[in-house]
Amino acid sequence: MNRLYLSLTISALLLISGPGISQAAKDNWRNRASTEEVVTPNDIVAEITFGREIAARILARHKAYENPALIKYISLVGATLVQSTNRPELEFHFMVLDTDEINAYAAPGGYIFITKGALKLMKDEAELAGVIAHEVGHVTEKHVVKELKIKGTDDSSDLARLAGGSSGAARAAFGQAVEQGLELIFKDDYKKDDELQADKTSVTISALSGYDPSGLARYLNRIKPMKEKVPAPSDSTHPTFDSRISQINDAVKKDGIQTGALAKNNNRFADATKSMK
Amino acid sequence: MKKQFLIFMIFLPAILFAKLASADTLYYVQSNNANIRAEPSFGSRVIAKIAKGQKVAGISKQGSWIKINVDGKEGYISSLLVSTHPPIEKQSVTKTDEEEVKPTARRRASSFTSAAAARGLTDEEKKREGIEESGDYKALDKMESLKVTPAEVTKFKETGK
Repeated sequence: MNRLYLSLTISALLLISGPGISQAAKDNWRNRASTEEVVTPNDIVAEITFGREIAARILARHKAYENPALIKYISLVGATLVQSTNRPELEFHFMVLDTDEINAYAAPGGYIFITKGALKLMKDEAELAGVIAHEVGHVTEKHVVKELKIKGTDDSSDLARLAGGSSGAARAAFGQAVEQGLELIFKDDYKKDDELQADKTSVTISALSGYDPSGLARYLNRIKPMKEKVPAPSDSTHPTFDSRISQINDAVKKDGIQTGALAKNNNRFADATKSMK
Repeated sequence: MKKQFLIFMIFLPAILFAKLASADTLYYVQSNNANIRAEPSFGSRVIAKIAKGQKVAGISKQGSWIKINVDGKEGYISSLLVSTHPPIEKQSVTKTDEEEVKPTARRRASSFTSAAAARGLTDEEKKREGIEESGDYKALDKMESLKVTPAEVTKFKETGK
């Protein structure tokens, strides 16, 4: 009997020190813990409802550009990209903002904006795809949603309480949460890790969609001298252009992406944007 | 003997935990279809294609790739194409597609109000709280009404090659 317990104990030790707690399993456990999530349709509705408010305010600050053919083109590039994402529950919308500011924005729920100023500086469709894919990345990775704890049904979540609240105070608090989200987006004040993750996501989405993913790095390199004149809101936490460009190039290399074989579509981009210039 | 039994019972939860931790993570394909590659690289050959909604067992993660087992074959899928929950139907808080788009800010009041009401927030309430004053809902309506069809996207992709 003693031998039986001894062998059982040894078996237990072997199991624990074997595949059960190998490094891969530990990583697997950590990955699962960080990526597994329970998502309900109500969560998605809450995200879209919140994103709509932010999108409406973005459109109040910058007028939508009246150029149906260009908007259609941007929407087609965007729709091509979102086919290679893990958010089929969202209807993505794309718009060009009539401003010479060099920027792009994403609101939760799938509202993507790019400024006329940014478009004017782009050279090909791969650069456009890279910028849109970066913004789509903020949505697919739910950066604002996670930061502001947007949930639909969990009573303990902040936004469910605010959005679902019937009191004036709750509604005012919802408005404040929208303001917070807007500030995050307009000041480009995402966490450094979130910004870098959106860049990596852009590389993958671009490549999956058949676009040369180094387009984003080329574009960032071009706007760097102009954007660096204006200090970022929180320079200590915001990644530098150089670090972003370097990370994008590393990701392209690491993922074995043959950029030369992927699309830039220079001519189509030039045709679609000539009315703007 | 009691002591040995006690030792074994102490280790039992650890055994169960270790086995649980090593269990495969289940992922669901979210894109219309996804390539499975032999190696975690875009340069690697495609060994299989799987469709939206298909469940695959994840073995480990390598950067932006997940090593999976599908139908007894091991390969790699981009982590951007999967989630740990089944695909959710497209959600909307705006008007239904079959409704006619009319160019006024209030034209969608009924549809948005009904969805927003479920969230406890009607257009009128938002107006009272000052939310609507700072948003351009007419422009938002227009943005949401601009849609491209799957057929248009397919054609666009083909002409881009």
